[in-house]
Amino acid sequence: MTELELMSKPKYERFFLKIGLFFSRIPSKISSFFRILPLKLRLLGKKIASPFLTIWDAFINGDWKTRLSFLFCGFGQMFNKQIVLGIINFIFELVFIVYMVLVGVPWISKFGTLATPLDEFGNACEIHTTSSGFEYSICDRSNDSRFIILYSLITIFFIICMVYVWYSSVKKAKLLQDYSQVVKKETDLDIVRTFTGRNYDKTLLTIPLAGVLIFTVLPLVFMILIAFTNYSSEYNGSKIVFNWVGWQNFANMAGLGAGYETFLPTMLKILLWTLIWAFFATFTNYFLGMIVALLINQKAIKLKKVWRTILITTVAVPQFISLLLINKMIQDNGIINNLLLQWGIINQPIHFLINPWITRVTVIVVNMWVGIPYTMLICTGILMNIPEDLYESAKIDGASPFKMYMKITLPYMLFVTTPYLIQQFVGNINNFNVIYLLTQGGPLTSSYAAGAGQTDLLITWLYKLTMTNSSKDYAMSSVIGIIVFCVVAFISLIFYSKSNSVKNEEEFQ
Amino acid sequence: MKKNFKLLTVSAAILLGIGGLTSCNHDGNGDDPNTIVVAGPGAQQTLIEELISDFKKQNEEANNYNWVFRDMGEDQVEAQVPDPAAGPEIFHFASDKLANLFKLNMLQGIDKDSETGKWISENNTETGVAFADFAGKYYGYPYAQDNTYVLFYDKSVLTEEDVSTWENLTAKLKTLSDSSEEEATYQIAYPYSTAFYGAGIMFTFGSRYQVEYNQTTGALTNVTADFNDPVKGVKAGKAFIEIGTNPYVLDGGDVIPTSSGNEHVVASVTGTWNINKITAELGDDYAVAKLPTITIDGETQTLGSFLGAKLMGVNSAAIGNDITKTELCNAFCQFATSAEAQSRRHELYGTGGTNIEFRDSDAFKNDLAQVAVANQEATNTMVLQTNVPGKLWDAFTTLGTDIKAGKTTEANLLEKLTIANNAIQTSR
Amino acid sequence: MKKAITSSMRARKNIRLTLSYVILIIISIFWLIPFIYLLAQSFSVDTMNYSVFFPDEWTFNNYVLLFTDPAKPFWKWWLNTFIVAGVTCIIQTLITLATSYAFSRLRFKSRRFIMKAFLIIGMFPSFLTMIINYFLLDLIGLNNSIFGLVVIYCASSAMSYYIAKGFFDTVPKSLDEAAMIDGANKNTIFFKIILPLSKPIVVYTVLMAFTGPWGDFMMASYIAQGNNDLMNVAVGLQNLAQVGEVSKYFSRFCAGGVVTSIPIMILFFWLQRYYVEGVTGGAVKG
Repeated sequence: MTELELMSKPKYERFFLKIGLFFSRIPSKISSFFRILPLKLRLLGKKIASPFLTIWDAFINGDWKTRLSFLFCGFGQMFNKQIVLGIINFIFELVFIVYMVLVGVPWISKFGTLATPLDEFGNACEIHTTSSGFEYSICDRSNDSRFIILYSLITIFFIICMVYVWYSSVKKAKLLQDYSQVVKKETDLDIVRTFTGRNYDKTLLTIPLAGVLIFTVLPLVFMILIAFTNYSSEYNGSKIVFNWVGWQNFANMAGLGAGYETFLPTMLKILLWTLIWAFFATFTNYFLGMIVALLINQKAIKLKKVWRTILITTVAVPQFISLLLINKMIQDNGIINNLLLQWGIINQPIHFLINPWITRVTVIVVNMWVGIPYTMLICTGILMNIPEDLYESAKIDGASPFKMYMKITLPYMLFVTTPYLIQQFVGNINNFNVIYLLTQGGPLTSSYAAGAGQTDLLITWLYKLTMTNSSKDYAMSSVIGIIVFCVVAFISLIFYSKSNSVKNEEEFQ
Repeated sequence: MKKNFKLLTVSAAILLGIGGLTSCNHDGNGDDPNTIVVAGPGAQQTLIEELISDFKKQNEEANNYNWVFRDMGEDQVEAQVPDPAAGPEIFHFASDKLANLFKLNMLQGIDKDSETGKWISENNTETGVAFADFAGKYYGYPYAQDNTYVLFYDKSVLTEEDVSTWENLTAKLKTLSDSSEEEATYQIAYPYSTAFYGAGIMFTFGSRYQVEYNQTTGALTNVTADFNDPVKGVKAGKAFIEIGTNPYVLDGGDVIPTSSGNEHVVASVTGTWNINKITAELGDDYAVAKLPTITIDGETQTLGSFLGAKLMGVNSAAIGNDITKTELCNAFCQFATSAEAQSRRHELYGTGGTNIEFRDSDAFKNDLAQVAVANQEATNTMVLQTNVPGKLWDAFTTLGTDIKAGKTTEANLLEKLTIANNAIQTSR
Repeated sequence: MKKAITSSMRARKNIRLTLSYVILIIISIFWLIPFIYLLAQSFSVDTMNYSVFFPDEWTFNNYVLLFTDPAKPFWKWWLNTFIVAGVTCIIQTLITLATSYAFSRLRFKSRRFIMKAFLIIGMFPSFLTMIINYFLLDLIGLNNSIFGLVVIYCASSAMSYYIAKGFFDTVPKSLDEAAMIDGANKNTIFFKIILPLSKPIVVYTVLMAFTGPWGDFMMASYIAQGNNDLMNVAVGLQNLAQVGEVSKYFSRFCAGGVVTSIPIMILFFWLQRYYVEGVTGGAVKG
C-alpha cells in the first residue's frame, strides 16, 4: 500500500502494520546480505592483495634504482630529485636497525614467557642481605613482566612503522621511475609545499594522532593483553612475577574459577542496573530539563537570565566538590537527616546510603540536580530556533498549550537532539563521578562479589577492583573493562548506524 | 599573518613563563638520591620533625641528606603509592597492611639474628614483636600496639557499674532519655558497620579465623573460619543484631562524647588516637573502661575487639641497593621507636607503646586508656590483627549494613553468617 | 482580536503564570541549597557539625588555614592546578580544533576510519590506561612532575573532536571555495577565515580545556603519590573529605570548595553565551 493509505489508517493499525512489515522484510534482507557477501569478500581480497602486487610489480619491473630501494630505503627518491626525503627515509631505516639490535630484540624475545622467576617463589628481584642483617633487593627492569610487555609493544609498533616506511619508499621509487619519462618530477620543495594544501590533513593531524597512539592506543592494547595474565597485587611484577594465563580470567568471569563463583551473577546484576540507570538518568534529565526550559521560556516570565544563571551554578561548580558535599549531607548523621529529625518530620534517619532502593533513587535524583541545567540550556537554545508562526497558526486553530507541546515542540526537539540523547545514554553508562563520589557504589551486600555494591556501575566496580580493593586484581578488571567496552560499543553502533544525522552529514554541509 | 604571529608569540611566552616558574619546585623529590622522605600521619608531624632533628645531631652521616616529612596516614601508604620506587623511604604503617606492603616490595626485612633484630625482640613486648614477625624475618619496627578501641564515657552521667555490662548500659541510657526534659536521646556511639569494630563483635563468643601462609612469599594458602558456627557464631550474630538495632546506639566512629545539643552521646567506642580531643571535651568527667560484657543465651562475654599495631618500615623499592641509605634509614627507625621516642609520642599524642622500658614507666601506667586496653586484652576476646584475610573487611561491613538496614534478622542469621564465612575463607 | 480575550482566559493565564513563578522559585531554592550550605559551613568554627545548617559561630579562620597550614597546603594544590589548567587549555585547544577542522573540512582516505576508531577507543574506561601512562611518563621522565598531567590530558584530547566538528560543519563551504579561488591555501583558510568566524566554539573549547584539570582526581592522584607538593585541588580536597579526616577538616573542605568554585563560576558566567552556543551548535546539529 502507498504512504497515503498508510497514513489514513487508524493509529493502532499503523503500528501493527509497521511491525509486520519489519518482520516480512527480514528474509529478503538476509538473502540480499548473502548475495552481496561474495562481492564484498572479493573487494576485501583485492584490498589486501594490492600492496603485495605493488611490491611484486616493483621488483619485477623496477630498474636498478628501484631494486636498491628494497635494501636501502629512500634510494629511489634520492636519485629522482627528492634528495632530502630519500635521506630521511634512509636515516629512519638505520635508526630502526640500531634500535632493534640494541633494544628491540632482547625485549621481544621475552614476550612469550614474560619475566622469569629468580627462585621457586616467583621473586622478580634478587634479594641480598647487608652485613648488618638488612635485606635489600636489586630489581632489574628487564625481569619485570610489565616492562617486557610495554617494550615489546613499542618494538612491535616500531616494526609496523618500518614496514610501512619500506613499503612506501619502494612504491615511491617505482612511481618516480614510471613517471620519469612523462612529467616533471616533484622535488622536495614541491612536496613541502603540499603540506599546507593537499596534505594539510597530515600537518594538522600528526601531533594529535601521535598523542592518541602513544597515550591511548598503546595503553589499551597493553590492558587487553593484561586480561590474559594474572597481574594483580599478588603477582605485581615488581616483587613476584606474573605470567600469561590464557583464557583463565575469562573463565573466572563466567564463574568457572575457584573463588570466583559469584562473579558472573554479580556482573549481570550490575550490568542490569547500569542499563536501568543510564536509561533513567538520560531521560529524566532530558524531559525535566525540557519542561524547565519551556517554563522559563514562556513569554510572560520576567528575569529569564536570572533563572537560567541560578541553574547554571551547578555546571560551573566543579562536580567533585558538589558531589562530595552532597555525600556528606545525606549521611545518616548528615545535615539533611538531622534537620528532618529536629523538625520532627521523621523519627528515624532516612538511610539514604544504606537501603539499596532509596540509594538508587537518591542517585538518580542527584544526577537530575547535576544534569538538568545542561539539558535545559540545550533545550533553550533549540527552542529559540522553532519558528514562531508554527505556534501562531496552531493557536489560531484553537490548539491547547498541551497539544502544541505534543505536536510541535516535542517532535522537533526529539529530531534535533537524537544524537545528543544517544551520546548521553552512552555517556551515562560510564558515568563514574556521580555514582562513585556519591555512594562509592554502595551499599555493599553479601551476595555480590569482590566489593561490588548495589549502585555500582560496571565502571565503578572496575575502579574499585583496580584501585581500592586490598587485592588489586588488574587482570580481572581488564576483563571487565573489555566487557564494558563491548556493551557500550554494541549499543552505540546500533544507534549510530540508524541515526539519520549520520547519513545526512554530506547533505547537511 | 601579523595577528596570528602575535597570538603565537603571546601563547609561547605564557608557556615559557609558566614553565620557568614551575620547574623550580613542582617536581617531586622522588628522584633525588640525596633526599630521604619520611612519611607519617599529619597529626604526628611535630614529633617526627623533632625526631629527625635529634637524629641528625646524633648521627653524622644523616646530615649529608635532605630529610623531608610527607603527610601520609598509616593505612594510606599502600593506596597512595602506586609506584613503590617513587614512594617515601621511611613510613609509618598499620600492621594489617604489612602483608600487602611486603608483596609490593616496600618493606626491607631484618634478620632475626642480626644486631637490630635482637634489639627489636629484646626491647619490645611479645605482642609488638609478633606484629613485625613475618615470613621468617622482621619487616618493621613496632612502636604502638594500641590500635584498638575501648569505651570512653562521661563519668558524670554513667557510673562504672553502668558501663560494665551492655544490659546495664542500655537500661541507663533508656532511663536518662525518658527522663530528659529536653526530650534528648542519650546514646552510645558504636560504629558497628565499620568492619574494624564489627569484627570485634563477631569475636565475642569465640569464633576465630585461622590463616596458613607461605613462609617465604607471604601468600595465604588456606583460610578457615567459624563465624557460622551454630553456637559461637550465632551468639555473636545475635549480639551484633542487638547492637545494630538498639535505638540508643549511634553508628558513628571517632565520636567525641559530649553533652551538648539535642543528642547526648555520653559514651563512645573509639581508640586512643582521639584521646586528646576526648580529654579536652570531658575534662574532669573523663573516664575510660574496657568494653562492656554482653549476655546472649545465658553466656556472658566481654565484647570482642581487634588489636592492631603501628610500625615503621623502610621502603625497599625506593632505596634499592644503596647500602648507606639502607643503614641510615634503619638506624632512624630504630631511633624513632626507642623508649625515649615512644614516651615522647605518648606525651604528645597519648599513643601507647611497645617498648618494655616505656611500658614500665609511670606515665604509661597512669594512663587510664592504656589500663583499659590492658584490661580488654586480659579478657581473651581480643584478636591480634596479624595476617587478616583480605575478604574479612567486606564481609563484615556487609553484615553490619545488612543488619542496620534490617535485612538480616535472627530468622536468616545463620544463612547470612554462612555467606560471610564462605567469603572470608576464599581470601587469598 | 484583542477584545476577544475573555476575562476567564486572562484569569487562567494569570494562574498559569503564578504557578510557573512558584515552581521556578522552588526549583531555584532546591538548586542552590547545597551551595548555600557550602558557603555557610565554610565559616564555621566547629570543624564538623552536621546538626546545624548555619554554623553557630562564624569565623574566617578556615580560609586563613587554607593558605597557612603547611600540612594541608591548599595554595600549593591550587597553584599546581592553575598551571596545569593554563598550559593544558592552550595546547589542548590547538589539538582539538586542528583535529575537528581536519575531520570536518578536509577529505582524505582514512578519514571515516579514524573518526570511527576515535569513537570506539573513547568507549574504553579511561582509567584502564592510567597504569601504563604512568610508566610512559616514567620513560620520558615526567612521572614526578605536574607536566606529566599536561601531557596526558593533551595527548588524548584529539578524541573529543565531536562537538567542534559539528560546529565547523555548519560553516558554509562556499566560504572555502571563494577563498580558494582567490588563491589561498588551506592553512590560510583555516587560520584567517574559519577560526575568526568560530569564536563561540573556540571559546567553548578553551573553557572546557581549562576547567577539565580542576576536576580530575584519578590521574592526578597517581602522579601525586601522596606528595602534597604535587597534588591538585581535586586530590587535596578529597583527602580532606575522607572518612578518617573529615571530622577535623569538613569546614576547611567547604572553604576550599568555595575558593575553587568562585573563579570557575566567574569564568562560566562571563563566557556563558559562548558555552551555550557551543553546546547547542556543536552537540546538537549532528
